[in-house]
Amino acid sequence: MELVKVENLTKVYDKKKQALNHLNLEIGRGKIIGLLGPNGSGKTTLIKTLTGLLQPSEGAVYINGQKPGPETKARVSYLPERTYLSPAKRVSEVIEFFADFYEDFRTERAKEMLNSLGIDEKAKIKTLSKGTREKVQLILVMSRDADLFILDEPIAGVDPAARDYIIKTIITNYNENATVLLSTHLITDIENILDEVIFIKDGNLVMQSTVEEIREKEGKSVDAYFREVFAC
Amino acid sequence: MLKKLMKHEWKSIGKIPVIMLIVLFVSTIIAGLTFAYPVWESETLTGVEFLIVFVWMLYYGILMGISVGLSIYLAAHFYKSMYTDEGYLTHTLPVTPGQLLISKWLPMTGWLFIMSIAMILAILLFAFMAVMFIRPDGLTTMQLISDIKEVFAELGTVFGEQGGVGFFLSILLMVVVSGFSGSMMVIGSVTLGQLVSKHKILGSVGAYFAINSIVTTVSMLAMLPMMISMAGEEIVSPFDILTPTYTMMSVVMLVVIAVLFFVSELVMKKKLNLD
Repeated sequence: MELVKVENLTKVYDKKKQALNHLNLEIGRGKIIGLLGPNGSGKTTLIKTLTGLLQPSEGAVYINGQKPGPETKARVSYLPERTYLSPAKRVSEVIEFFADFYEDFRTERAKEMLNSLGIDEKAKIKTLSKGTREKVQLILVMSRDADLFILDEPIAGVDPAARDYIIKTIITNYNENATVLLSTHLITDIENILDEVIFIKDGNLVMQSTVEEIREKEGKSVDAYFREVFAC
Repeated sequence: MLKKLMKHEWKSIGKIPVIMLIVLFVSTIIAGLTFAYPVWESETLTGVEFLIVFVWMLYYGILMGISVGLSIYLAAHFYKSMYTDEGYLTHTLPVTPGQLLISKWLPMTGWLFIMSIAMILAILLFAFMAVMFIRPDGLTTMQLISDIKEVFAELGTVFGEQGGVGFFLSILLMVVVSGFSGSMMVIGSVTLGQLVSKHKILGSVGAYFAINSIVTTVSMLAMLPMMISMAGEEIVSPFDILTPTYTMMSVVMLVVIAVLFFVSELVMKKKLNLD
């Protein structure tokens, strides 16, 4: 069974703006997949539908054969493009929170990563810089042994050094039976770690292919091919 | 999971109400101590007298502020944790919408009860301090306490004779149920407000007033047949009217709780769309 199945997925906002248009795709296990497309192409809408934060207008999504619900949420580790941690909590409290709710959360792994970055567990989230908050969130998300990691723009808005750290964290912490689905438009930075790419534009699937296929067939890097496909 | 949700919710909402409790009792003691100075014997309102009156007004303001402030704080906390950025974490936890609702509803109601009881105790403390300072000479504390006991004993006798036990129970039921329904109305309003595509907070406020109006109308309609049937009967005591009225109001509020819970759960299951 495929890990993720998207069937005829349509999302319309306010009865007029179509964000996803009868989208169909399947995602297998053990891969790092780039969800690529220009701004407003429907990447975040697709991700939020997979995580259950948005309800489809039509069609359905399945993770491990189930529609989004408590069972799928227990197996999906999600990094949104915004800070979802309460500013009033301490880092240690957030770790305790994750450990309480996610059986697959590895507290030791999280603590090791925090230590390696010199982040004080007693610090309150509101006292951390934006970049450090993002790192804390990434650490929390990648400290799970989930089936599916969904990372929405994990490297947008961070400096190159932090970008390298994030990419390293993703590669080091995901296990080979899990799949990482990450959306971005900064392709050059992540191209080397991707197994597959999904191109979407205006809510439609443009293509789904392995990185190798693109390089072989098109004779181009994913970044160059992306620029060609989405040329304005 | 519900137990864990409740544990974190208690921890998360507790800080501000605890500060409110401390402010409540400290301000009560300060306001009560003002009775040590016999302001009522002064003919002018200057200097210390003016300050004392100011303290009383401030105390009244604090009581009102805490009462309204707690409700606003709890509503804002619910909104923030469910439907803003923090909602991205809340709604991706491996729990059902029903569990989420209960975990928010019970601590919210708990704090409303705790604060109501604290308010009553604070006012009693304030009154007790006033009586202690302005009591006539020769009245000892023991005598004062025994007088208060006597008043309650007399009240008990009156209530016992005229169906007051039923009345007392109906009030108790109404107070308890209204605490639960009050918080559920906040939860229901905020959740229904999310169905509005823009201006969700305004939508929530609108939903609150709409729900309130519907509840008031339904309560009146529900009590109408009872009132009509009572019109021809001989009324022996006011409890004959008040007891069934309060009981009926409790029943209406229980229905409100059930409906709002069901609707909120449905919205979270089928219509959740976090921006």
